Amino acid sequence: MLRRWLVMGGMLWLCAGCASHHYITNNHDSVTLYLRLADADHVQFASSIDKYELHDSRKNGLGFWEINQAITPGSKYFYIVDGVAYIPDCRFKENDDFGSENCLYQP
Amino acid sequence: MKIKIYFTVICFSLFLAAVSVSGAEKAIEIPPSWSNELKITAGSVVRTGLATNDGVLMTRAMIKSRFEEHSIVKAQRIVAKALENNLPVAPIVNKAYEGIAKQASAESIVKAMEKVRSRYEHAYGIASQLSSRKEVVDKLGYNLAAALVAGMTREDAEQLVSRLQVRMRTMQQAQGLDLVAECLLTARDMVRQGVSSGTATEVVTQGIEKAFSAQQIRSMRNAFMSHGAYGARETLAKSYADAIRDGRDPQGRQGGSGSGGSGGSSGSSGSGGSSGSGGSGGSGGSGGSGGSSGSGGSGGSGGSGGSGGRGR
Repeated sequence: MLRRWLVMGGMLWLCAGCASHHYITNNHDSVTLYLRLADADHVQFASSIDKYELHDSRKNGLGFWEINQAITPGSKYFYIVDGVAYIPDCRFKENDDFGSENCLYQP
Repeated sequence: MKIKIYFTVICFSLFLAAVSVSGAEKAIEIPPSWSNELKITAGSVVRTGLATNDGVLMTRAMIKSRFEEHSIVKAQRIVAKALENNLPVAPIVNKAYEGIAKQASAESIVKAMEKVRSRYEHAYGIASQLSSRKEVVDKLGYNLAAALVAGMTREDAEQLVSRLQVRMRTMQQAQGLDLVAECLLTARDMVRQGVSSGTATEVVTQGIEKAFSAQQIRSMRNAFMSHGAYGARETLAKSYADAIRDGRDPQGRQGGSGSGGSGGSSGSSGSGGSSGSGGSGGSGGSGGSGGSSGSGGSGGSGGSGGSGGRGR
């Protein structure tokens, strides 16, 4: 029993330290994006759909930074985490011409 | 009498110039301390056709971000140059907003804007070799620019297009242009997923060499998009190139040649769904809607519908 709890605790500890990213397409014009970043204090989301206006993400009960956005296929996006640009591990990427990359929303 | 007419014309011209500069100045809210050069450049950008609102908003955003005057002038000249060459302006202006959001320096933002302009100039130049119709050049140029920014090299893009030009000689123009569009999209989507420029070009070039139709290229792309959801995409792309070269079905090589859609729309996949995992049978097909999307989710929390797709 103790061993099982230790294993589960270890897995939780590992997951808390890693960043993961995914999204759910709610309907044709809305996407909820999730980002797990354990140590972040302030996470903002920006996309090409609205000229990279910054939108605050909120931390949900499961520890994910969550935001609902009306992004469309082909939109570029990234996060600003505690004031610094952050590119999650996404499947589709392209260069951003600033020496980094952008994610592409391509469902 | 003549002198009077000349005098009137000159006065009227000066009046018009003053009105348009002060109009742009007023719209953009240029600080009074700025030079006439910026006022004139801003006015000319607005006048040359950049949607007034876009030009005004971009300049305002730069002023708000405390850009120095010379950086704004450079940025506006880049936009003006794009307008003169009939290149799309939105990607260049958006690059400025992106840089501001990323808190990049004014200098690097201007450089990035110039990179975008140059990329589109190159892409549109190549596209114009394939067609003289503006709407076709716009479409192909846009897709080519997207492939380039994803990581395709200019050399590979030129090589691919020259192969396509040869192939198009044996096709009707509409079919040829369809083929070009599908080839560019396929190369773009592969490179976007981390496949090297050389390999993506090789896959598509092999398809062209084997006289694939636009439909076959599209089918191959859809299969790659579904099979390539996880795992080594470079290796997968190479296996496609090898299969086509050897005259085999590249999709069949991956254990079943199902059409597998590129991301499906199953309603109950919640957050765990992965983009369609490809069919396990069937014969080619054209992509379709990826009915099995969502299987193999990674521990989602259910969710109330939606075509669950994972970010990576």
